[in-house]
Amino acid sequence: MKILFLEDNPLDSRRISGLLAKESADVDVDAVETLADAVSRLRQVQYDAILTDLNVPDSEGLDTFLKFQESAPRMPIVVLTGQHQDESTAMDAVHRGAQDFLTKDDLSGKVLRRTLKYAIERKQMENLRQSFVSIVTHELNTPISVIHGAVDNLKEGFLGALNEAQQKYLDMIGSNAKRLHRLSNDIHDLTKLEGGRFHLNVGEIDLCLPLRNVCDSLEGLSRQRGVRIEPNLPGTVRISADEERIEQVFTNVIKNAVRFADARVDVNIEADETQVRVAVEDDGPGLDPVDLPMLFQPFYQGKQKKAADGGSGLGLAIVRGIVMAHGGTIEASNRPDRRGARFVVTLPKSKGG
Amino acid sequence: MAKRILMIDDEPNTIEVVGDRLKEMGYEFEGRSNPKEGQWATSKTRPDLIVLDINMPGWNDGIGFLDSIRHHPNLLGIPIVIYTSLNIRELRRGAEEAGASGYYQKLSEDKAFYDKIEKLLG
Repeated sequence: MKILFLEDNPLDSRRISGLLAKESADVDVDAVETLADAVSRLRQVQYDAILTDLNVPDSEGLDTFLKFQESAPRMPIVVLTGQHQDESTAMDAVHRGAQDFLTKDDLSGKVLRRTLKYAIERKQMENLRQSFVSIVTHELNTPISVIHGAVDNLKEGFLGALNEAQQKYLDMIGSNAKRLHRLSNDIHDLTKLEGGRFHLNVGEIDLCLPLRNVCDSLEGLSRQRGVRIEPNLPGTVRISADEERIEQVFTNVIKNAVRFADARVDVNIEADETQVRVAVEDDGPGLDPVDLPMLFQPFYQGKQKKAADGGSGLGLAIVRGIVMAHGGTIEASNRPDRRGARFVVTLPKSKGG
Repeated sequence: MAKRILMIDDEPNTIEVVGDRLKEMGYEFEGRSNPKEGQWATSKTRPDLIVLDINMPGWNDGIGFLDSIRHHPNLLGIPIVIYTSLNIRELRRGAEEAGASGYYQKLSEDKAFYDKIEKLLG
């Protein structure tokens, strides 16, 4: 097995390469000292796995892992942590898709080799799972779109006029086909986010633009529900982000707020030197404390779920995934001052910074 | 004379559903469900517009297929609209760069798809 090994400390690098070489003749280690070097090797050589320190001269912490994941999304990655570092960054990497982590002071050739072998197996399963989901969701979309198209043609009356009951049933079939389609698209997006394969199209944007778009596009729904959206947006707030995805995030969050609000949804922006915080607050029943820890989990539907809203149960999980891919965070809580729920999205002004 | 639309999609039911609608809209319609047979390219009457699925068996690279159609001597200059179940941004951008007149996901962008055809054919 061929391993790409990134470690800037020459002593550690030699020691760990030596451990692996002594353990087995079938391990071939390519050691480099900078991330830039590692990424350029990845383009030239076919490796089986990556073993990497997180703090190297040209990259630090979780970013090192994320950059590897971006350049080689199908490659298993094992993270190494220093003696005095805490494990939390390494655990973050595991949550974001690293196969394992090891502490440098606690290494043997045997453990290293076995960890790498397992990492390769695990990643292979993960790649299979992702391809499977991707194929299944697309295969589902074809028949669903045929059902929907056929219903649409019937509803248009191409085959003769329909009575009210027939119309009602066709509406039902049509809206449920749409719901299946949304579910399948959402599963596809979520799987890509989990695998770090969600491509962001990052550019310099004015965050107020997508926010205004979202508020405008939800006007119909809010009027229908008797809810007023009150956006309190300053002139411009420049950040580097994927505008379309950011719009997707706030469509989801603000639509939820409109759904649960009694009369009013507030959208506020607060910016400082490094980050932007967008708070979306409603005056509805608020969140059940029982739901709070689970809110962003896929398919979790809280106690207050309103029937037949057509949600897939994946919206907030996707929202969180997109926000995290931007290097941001999302938090949900109840308003301290009054009744209602509060969602706060924090985004760095420049991605990863 | 009615404008003529050629649709290439490996799913016959999709061809039927889309064809019925386009005929209802007043177009002449021809559908081909075997992207490999090549007959569509040699048919005597030139279509005024081509509707193309980009995700068909035998063609791993949908953009390559689009490219081969766009440069087929019998089909030069005919607008191509992509209509597919895939909603992949890179593919969308790739299709537009390769000269497609539009890219629409089946079902979720149906309305925009039919509107675009009307706009292209006047």
